[in-house]
Amino acid sequence: MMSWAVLCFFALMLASILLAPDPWPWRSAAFPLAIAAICGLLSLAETAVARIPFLRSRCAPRGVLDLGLETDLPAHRVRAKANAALAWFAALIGGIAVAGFHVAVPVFTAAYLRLVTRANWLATGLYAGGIWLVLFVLFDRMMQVRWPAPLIAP
Amino acid sequence: MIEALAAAILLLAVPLHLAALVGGVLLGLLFGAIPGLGGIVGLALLLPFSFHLEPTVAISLMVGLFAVTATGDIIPAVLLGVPGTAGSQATILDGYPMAKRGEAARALGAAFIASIMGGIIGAAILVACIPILRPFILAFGSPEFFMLGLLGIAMVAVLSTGSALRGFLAAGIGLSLAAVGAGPQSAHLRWTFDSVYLSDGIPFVPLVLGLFAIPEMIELYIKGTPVAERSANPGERTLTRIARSIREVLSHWFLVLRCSVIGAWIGAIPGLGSAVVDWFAYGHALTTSRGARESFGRGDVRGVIAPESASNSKSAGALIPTIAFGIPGSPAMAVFLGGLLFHNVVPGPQMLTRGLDITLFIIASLVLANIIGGGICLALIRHVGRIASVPAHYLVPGVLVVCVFASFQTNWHLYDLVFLLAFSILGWSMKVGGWSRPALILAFVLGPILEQYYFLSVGRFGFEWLTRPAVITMGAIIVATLAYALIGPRSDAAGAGR
Repeated sequence: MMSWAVLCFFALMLASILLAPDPWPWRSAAFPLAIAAICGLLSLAETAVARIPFLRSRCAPRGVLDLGLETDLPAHRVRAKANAALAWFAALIGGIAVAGFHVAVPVFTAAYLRLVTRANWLATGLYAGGIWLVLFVLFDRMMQVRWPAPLIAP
Repeated sequence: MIEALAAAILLLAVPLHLAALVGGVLLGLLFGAIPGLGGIVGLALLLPFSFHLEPTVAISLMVGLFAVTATGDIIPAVLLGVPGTAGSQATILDGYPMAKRGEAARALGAAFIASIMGGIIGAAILVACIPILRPFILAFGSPEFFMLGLLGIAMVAVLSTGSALRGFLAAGIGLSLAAVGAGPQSAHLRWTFDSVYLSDGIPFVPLVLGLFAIPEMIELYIKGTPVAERSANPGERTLTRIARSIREVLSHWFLVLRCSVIGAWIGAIPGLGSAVVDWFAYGHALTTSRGARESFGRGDVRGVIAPESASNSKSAGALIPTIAFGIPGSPAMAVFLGGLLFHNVVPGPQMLTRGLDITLFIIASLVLANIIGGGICLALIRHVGRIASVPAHYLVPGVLVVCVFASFQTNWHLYDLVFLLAFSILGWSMKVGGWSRPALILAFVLGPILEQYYFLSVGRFGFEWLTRPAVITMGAIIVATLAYALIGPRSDAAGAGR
């Protein structure tokens, strides 16, 4: 799946340079074009490696130097839980866009603690209030951060 | 020289200077530990306050701050897998797995000691090399910068052990993302979709946090357990732990020395950027340490020592061009330079003659700040290490909120958060799919450097730049690195450094 996505990424990149209605100047296009062409070919090879069993067995990665996923849960549960975590994160960002930092942060923290952790109201209130207070003092008072205007009343 | 050194030490011994230094160190540790802030933000915030201070007090404060941000950022990197600043990304690869094994205190102790030693070695290099560095740094032209960038990309193959193809593709994605925005060679905007926001390129902090921090939080959410379910040696006394950390780092003294030299050297080269120092040191340790190919990335203490000694040594290295030539060695040094100029301390060759006492005062402050900063962190290991035992469901919402705030510092724009979300999805997909995130981030940092210096080289020298001795030497190293990555030995003794 990821191999196909990478192949499509480089194909789109190449097409966007070569088929641009307003052609890119040579000096702007040279590097991206070289990257897209070379990586396009490499991703074709990677897709072939991923699809053809003979190649896959011969070229299987022997371990990537990165932090891999360490869990014993079945793949479908990992996928479901990852989607839930990303949904929580998207909700936080959406909440900030709609209601602003000062409302979204304590509401998100409290909702998370109540719904995921099943924490009691006292712990929820202390934790959400504490996080809001620390960030308010550090970013709003000390660093004078300009918050984006929320879509609804500030 | 001796007189100037004595004057510098006397100046440093003034209680007000020491107090300012300690204040700067505390702020530096705080700014380093909070993801997304770091030395530049800290110095920029401190600068207006320093205007009202005596020049030497202001210098103590500023040196104290920038010297230890690389020490403070170890804490979130090791305990949470979240890079505090750009210079702690490589530390995560082995520090976080150690924390997961319950060895957070061991990883932190080794990292802090390596930081102190790196800072001291970097300062020693600074003192020793100032008289001879001028011709060396000035001889480093655009072709050499280009080759150094290429060497970094070649390291991708090394960093992506056993999966060079995917490593190069991840690097290709990083180079492509780095190409977004105004190109260095023309005003033409690439892939900005008429967005003003993108004309400056893809923001770095959301990319780093999205690739590294958020996926680790998603993993914690899935597992529902603390980072470390048990702690190794929980009852160990602080002094015993510190002594063990010192012994452990000293047993790898040659690695510390080599990585400190790398850190000081890269820090001294203006324009290469602090974000690559730790990767260069990590890559060096990976290729030269026995059994590293099997044990690095799984919690090898050498994978923590190498980048951390280079990170702190870099601060001293970056001071070389800043003080001696008035050329800031890093973005943070540009702010520091502004502070020096405001206080009528004018960097340049005269800082090595008439202003030598101030130069040595800055260096002595740097050494002392590293010792104080490392000492504070070592004393707090036991308490700080408990973060790894906090239940995941309490840790995750707090860290997510901090990551959102840190990302927002980039441009103070909602798009910062949109990009954070997008890169989080990318980071998670890469983590699950076994694609190298370090390769992507390293290529992203080096992309603009490569493009800029290639065209500069061709413009100035035609293709004759390929015949320069330093270019040929680095070309040979690149070929050797690639050859080693593709056909190198696979049978190193595993776990030599565990």
